[in-house]
Amino acid sequence: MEAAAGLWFFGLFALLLAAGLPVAMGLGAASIAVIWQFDLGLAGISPTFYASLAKFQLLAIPFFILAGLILERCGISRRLVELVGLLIGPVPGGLALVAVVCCVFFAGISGSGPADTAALGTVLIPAMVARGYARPFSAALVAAGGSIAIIIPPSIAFIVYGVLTNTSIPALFAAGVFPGLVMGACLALPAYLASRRHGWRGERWGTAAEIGRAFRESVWGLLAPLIILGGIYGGVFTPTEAAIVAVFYGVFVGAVVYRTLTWAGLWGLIRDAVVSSAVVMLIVGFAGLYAWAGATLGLLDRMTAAILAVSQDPRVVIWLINLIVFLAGYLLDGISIFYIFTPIFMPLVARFGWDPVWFGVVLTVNIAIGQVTPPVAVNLYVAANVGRLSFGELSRAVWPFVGAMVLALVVVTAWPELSLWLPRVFGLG
Amino acid sequence: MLGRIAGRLEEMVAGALLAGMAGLAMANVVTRYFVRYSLAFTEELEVAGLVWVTMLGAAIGFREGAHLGFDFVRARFPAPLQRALVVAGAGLAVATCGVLVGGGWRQIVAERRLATTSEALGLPQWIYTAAIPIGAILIAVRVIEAARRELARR
Repeated sequence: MEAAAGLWFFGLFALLLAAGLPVAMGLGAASIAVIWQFDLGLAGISPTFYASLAKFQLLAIPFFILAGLILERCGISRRLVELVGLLIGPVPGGLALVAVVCCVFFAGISGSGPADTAALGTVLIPAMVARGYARPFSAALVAAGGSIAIIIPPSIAFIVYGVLTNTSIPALFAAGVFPGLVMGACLALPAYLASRRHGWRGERWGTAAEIGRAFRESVWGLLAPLIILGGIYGGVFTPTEAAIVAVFYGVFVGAVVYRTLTWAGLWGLIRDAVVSSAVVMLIVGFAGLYAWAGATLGLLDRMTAAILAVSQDPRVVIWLINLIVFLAGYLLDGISIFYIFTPIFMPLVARFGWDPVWFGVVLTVNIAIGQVTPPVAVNLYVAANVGRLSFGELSRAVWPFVGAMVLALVVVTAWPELSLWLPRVFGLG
Repeated sequence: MLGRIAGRLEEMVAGALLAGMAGLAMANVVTRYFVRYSLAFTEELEVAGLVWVTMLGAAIGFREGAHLGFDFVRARFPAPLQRALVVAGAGLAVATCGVLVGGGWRQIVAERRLATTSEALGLPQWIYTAAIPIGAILIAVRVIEAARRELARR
């Protein structure tokens, strides 16, 4: 009976995914089948689904997505790439390093990996290819760098984890800053080495006048992360409020400063934000239902017990958890991973006295890797699309960067203080 | 013309809702910090709007194939089997929507019978709940349309 329940619960979902159902529908259909088969109460389905969606903190998701789209439309990524290019100059791997720096910076505006990849990929991949960088290398680097979006605040991943585990979202946001920088540094390493081997270089150093002009042009973009994060840590805004302020800041910059944003343009961006956030939120709704079915069956408790049966040593268990999430990242998106696995892991977090903020950062860094490990890798889909190359070609080029990201994961896991120092400084730890 | 309007129905409503939610949220921030008068009760409207936007936006997502999924297992099967899987997948998705329609409808009936009202504004709760069955119907329609296009393609 127990084995049968587990087989139904996990097997059916896997089968539906393989049959080509979208992740959200696969979760929904599998949950309903399990709820029906094991008589968990069909009456619970609609209220559980509704309650998974109707959470105030989740409002930050459409708002941050909209803010990112509007700021991107203002041409911030293009201006940023120009400025950083003038600053980094003709060193080996120049443009590749520009790409990493811009990904880290843009992560402070965008909270979604695919959005970050799309915004920077459109500018960076053609620029790098024009300078002789290999196309698969360029696209893979931007895809990997794009995943920093969910580690450096704002971050959809942290919002979902915070909602699921009742962890302070501002604390999680602060905790992500240094791990995001570490991830950037780790990605810079293979980018630099490959560029030096192939003789790929940057453009040239800008003159003081050029840098000054590029700085003045991009200053409105440079201010955006300061407004978002300054607002949250100055104690002025909640994350949802910071998101909405960022939306109106973007509208102001686009309509008043650069005068490129029209009503029709704004409507198009709102429409895109509706679809992008609905894609995320439909997974949230059905994954909430799926996790509820799993918990009601008592399956998740048994998964927790199974992990403890392997080892009761926290130092072993944390790496076991990392391995599970890393492997799940090949086949699942981040939101599904959070909903399926955090109910299994949180009893372990409590048992071992781990800091849930640090644990959230570890999971998120791991999920960021999942965004570029094929076959299911949202950032690679986007990068293949904007970089105009095949998914297979891109998948082969991404492995050095996956290695670098695993290195960052090891650092973040082994060194909790890296995550926990900043929240404490802000009085959130 | 009517078909065009029907095709864009979700976009108009969901886009207007998100714009309205953004306006409300901004008004809330402004009044709270500058006029020291809180419009906190509007948070309820924003959250309800989020559910509506999610359901309507998800329907658009199915029309445009925006939802995350993968094709590499299915693509390895012979064409007739692929077509069968497209039909089966759409059937399951529609059935899932059907359960949400049924469940949502029952929830609405119960809420109307008990005259349940929302916490902050005291509005009838079923206005918010209606997003689930109505949204699920729209999603089912878009799933069927997308499956028909998919079949024509394979």
